[in-house]
Amino acid sequence: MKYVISIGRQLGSGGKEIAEKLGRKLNITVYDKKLLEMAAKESGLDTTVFEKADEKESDSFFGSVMAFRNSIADAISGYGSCMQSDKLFEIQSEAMRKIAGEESCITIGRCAEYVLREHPNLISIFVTADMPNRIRRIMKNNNLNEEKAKEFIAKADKERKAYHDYYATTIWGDSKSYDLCINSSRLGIDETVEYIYGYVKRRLAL
Amino acid sequence: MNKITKQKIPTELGTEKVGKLLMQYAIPAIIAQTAASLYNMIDSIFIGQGVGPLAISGLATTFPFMNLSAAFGAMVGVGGATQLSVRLGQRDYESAKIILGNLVTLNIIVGITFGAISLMFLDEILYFFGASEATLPYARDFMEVILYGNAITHLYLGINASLRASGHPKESMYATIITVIMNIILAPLFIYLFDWGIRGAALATIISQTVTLLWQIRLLSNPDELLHLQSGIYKLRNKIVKGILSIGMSPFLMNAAACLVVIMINKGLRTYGADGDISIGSYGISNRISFIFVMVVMGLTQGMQPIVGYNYGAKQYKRVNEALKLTMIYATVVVTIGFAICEGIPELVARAFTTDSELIAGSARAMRIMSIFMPLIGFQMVTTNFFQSIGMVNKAIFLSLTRQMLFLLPMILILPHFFGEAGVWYSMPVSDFVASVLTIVILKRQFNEWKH
Repeated sequence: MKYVISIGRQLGSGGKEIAEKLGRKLNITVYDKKLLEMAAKESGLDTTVFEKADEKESDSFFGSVMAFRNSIADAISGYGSCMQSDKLFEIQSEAMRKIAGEESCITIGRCAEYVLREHPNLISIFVTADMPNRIRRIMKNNNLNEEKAKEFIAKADKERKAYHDYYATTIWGDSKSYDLCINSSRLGIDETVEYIYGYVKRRLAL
Repeated sequence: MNKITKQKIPTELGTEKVGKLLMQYAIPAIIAQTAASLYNMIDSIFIGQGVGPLAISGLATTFPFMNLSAAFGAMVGVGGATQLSVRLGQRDYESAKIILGNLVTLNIIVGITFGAISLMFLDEILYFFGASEATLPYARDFMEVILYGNAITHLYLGINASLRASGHPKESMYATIITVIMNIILAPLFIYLFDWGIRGAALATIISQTVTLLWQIRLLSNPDELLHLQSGIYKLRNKIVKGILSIGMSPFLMNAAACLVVIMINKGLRTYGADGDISIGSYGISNRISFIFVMVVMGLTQGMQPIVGYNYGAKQYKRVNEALKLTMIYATVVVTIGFAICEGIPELVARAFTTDSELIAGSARAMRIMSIFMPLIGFQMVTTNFFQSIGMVNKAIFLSLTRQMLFLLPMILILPHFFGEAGVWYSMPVSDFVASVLTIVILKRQFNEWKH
């Protein structure tokens, strides 16, 4: 039986680590942004390849700012001309659905719980963590001081919410949007993985 | 059954001859872009010839009003259509329907509110926009009808944007063309035959939009369409309304900015002009003319966008260059024709709008000044859109704002202090020139960067 586990997460919650450990345990691939982009390219869906030479967008590529700028640009060039980031999201979603149709997997981010809403065996999870833990994690992973880490987290929260809520009809981080919401600070990463593993097993009646 | 299913990006974009592609993509865009401005011009001609020179001037003071109304309409229309296309891309038809319903409701609410408030303060607003005691009656007569039908106008534009977003670009184009043609038939009928004056022109606009709106509604009521109007979709949802308004904010601001520019020009002409009414009327006429050429270029650049975007992504830089160059050449030819007309035979053009010798002389002078650097703006506009096509949105926005706002507004404020009325007129070509030079610099720098 094919199934998909979508993991949404706050920055610094350990969501990615949890996804990877869970993936190893279940022996399925974890698709993060990079892998999804590659998959989109390989599948030939990504024919337009929106290479962003300018603007240094990386992760802030989307979000409200992007939507805002895009619609200004849209207003300049006439209404309703196709927006590039919208198209990119569409292509990535298409790739995600294709992958989810072919194999069991874990996805990280990208509004997967909305994109894959029609998948019969979708298990959607959202990982949070306490602020001090998030800050510590970001300081360590990104080599930042506390001040910078806090800023980084605040910015990422805003951007992820804007990106998610623009593209999905569900609300980012809202318990109504997911099957399971969990704070990784309570049990720690490894125990949280175990807990989710148990939940997945029950759901799939493995 | 439906046309919404995946609109594949045709691979011809990477293989077919660039010139052929440009024609194929640009012609529908040019038609869509010029239809409305062509109609505005023809409407002005009927009003000028059928009602009189003061009516032309009165009409010119309603331009910012129309811009402002369009700003509110675009806020809802663009915001809704954008959300709609995201949902359709996800094949989330349930959500898409609710967005369509919310768009309709919002269009009606915003349309009626804007119309009602404007009607309450109509005279004050028109004076503020540059009307005089002589031109106010015409402006008022015209705007009253337009404002009573404001919700219809908004709904018509909003549904048209939705049609385009939902895989019916052809129907959306037909709607535009039908409206224009109906207008062109009804306006002279109402003005000349029924002798309804400037009101007749406004009524022709509203009636044409009503008929088209009914057709659009019928089109969207077909239950065979995945996306269609049905009960239960009209109740406003918090998240959708918020989304529509936040996405719609920027088109709103762009339109509001256009409104501001026209107000400033009208005010400048009123303050410094020997005869404010003649000057404002002259601006109205020259504006109508130059806008047509601007809109043709706009259509050209829209046709260029997918070609440049695709080939840039596919790293086929030769084709990118070719498309850019070709579009620049076509655009420059178009604006140079405009330039030749405005510099060579402006009196003849003005005569189409009016028989008043003062207004003809004023319009001719205005056209001659406004179009001095017109041959440059083709290049400027193409470059702006080029940056947008390849995802450099910041540069595109900046360049677009320079010509229409950043350079223009200060000039309108400063130049008249030194040169009087001429200062208002010259602010436009000067701003065109400065923006074009800046555009050359930025484009050159970009190409140098690519070479390294």
